[in-house]
Amino acid sequence: MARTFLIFAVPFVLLAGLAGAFFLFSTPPVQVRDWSGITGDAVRGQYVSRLAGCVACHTLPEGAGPLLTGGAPIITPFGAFGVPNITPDRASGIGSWTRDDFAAALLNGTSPDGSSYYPVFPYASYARMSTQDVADLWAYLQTVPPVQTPARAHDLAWPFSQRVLMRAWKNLFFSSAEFQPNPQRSQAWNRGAYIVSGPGHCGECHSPRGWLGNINEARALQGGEGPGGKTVPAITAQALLDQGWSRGDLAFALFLSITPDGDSLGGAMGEVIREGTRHLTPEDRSAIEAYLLGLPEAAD
Amino acid sequence: MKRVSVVLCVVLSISVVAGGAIFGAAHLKAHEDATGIVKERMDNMKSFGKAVGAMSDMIKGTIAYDGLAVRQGAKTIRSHSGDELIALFPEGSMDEHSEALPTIWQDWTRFSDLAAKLQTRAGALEAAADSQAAFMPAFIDLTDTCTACHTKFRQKQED
Repeated sequence: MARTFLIFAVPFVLLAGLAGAFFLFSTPPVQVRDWSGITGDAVRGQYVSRLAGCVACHTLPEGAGPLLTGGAPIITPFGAFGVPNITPDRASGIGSWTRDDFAAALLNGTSPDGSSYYPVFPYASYARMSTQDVADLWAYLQTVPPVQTPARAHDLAWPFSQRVLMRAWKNLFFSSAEFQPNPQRSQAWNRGAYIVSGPGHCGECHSPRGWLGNINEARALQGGEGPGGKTVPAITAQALLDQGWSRGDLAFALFLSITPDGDSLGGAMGEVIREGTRHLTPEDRSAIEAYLLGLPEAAD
Repeated sequence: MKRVSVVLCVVLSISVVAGGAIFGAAHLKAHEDATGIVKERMDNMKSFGKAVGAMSDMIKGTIAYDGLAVRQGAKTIRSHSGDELIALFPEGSMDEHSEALPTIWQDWTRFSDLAAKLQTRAGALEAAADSQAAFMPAFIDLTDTCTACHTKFRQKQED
């Protein structure tokens, strides 16, 4: 009886294990975008570099290093991540990449050698970016002065140091696709939703994560953890209204870092504002506010 | 590298706590003063925030521009920044309420430069208060100093 059971059970368990491993380590799905008719504009791309927060992470703070040559390490529960050089230097930057390599990095989290990036690089958000924004950003990055600065190596705890695991991570958690506007809402609301969920990657810090570092989309923007394990507040409409934020306050804070009670935002948000949202158009800051506060919308 | 920093942090924390305990036992009043100074500098910052908040409302247009209020607010900041401000941050003065980061004492030069800059720029804002056109750039200069310092030297606690 026991032997009969084993004869059936063992192959079943082995098969299930194999199927599981096959699923986890199979090639993760990739986004295919239509590039026809799309030409990158470097001037717009420089704007996208602010919108997507490239500068804040990929440049050392306070002028301690040249633009986009790599930032300070990002400290997370999994270890310290080095932030690479994204100038067009051929040896240490992205000078040998093609546009398709760049798009695969941003939209699929895949490096030119086919390995998967750690999700500390916010490709789960960037995957929602428009093809035009990706093309513009690529055009801009090629105009940045190339500087040879080798990337700092990651310093991660085992098993997270095994990059091959990121393939499994993607199969489990990564399914983002290009942002789709909601036709029921205003143009400003949709622009805000695009910025917040896509290039602005607000949820990477402001949403809680699971124990494998996956963003909990069901509790989006309900507060999370920032670099160095620091608590990051909720920015849902309810949380913001409870904290005394009203129309105009958020757009103002994203420009001058000042909260409704006259405090000045610092820490990682100070850098986000100084290197990112301050450089946006007032219209884009207002769009972010319209989306986050969810206030009654004016007709377009 | 990370392990070294962790060990260093642990050793530093133990020395600070142990040093504090010995110091506290010998000078109970000094310990009370240390708690007091955290509150004192928080009250100071709150008075700055009140002034900045009112000026922000003038920019947002929720209240009318008031040159006199701007001048008074800027004066409050000027007269309590610079040397007076850094005197409220004696080395290691942190308790569970404090939002000060230890980087203040690791980079004291930068910290005191920012405190001095705050004073200069508050003075410039005070001088610009009569003209709404001159007010805006002076206000941005001033608040950039707040942000630069808070970005590097403060960990905001949840309310």
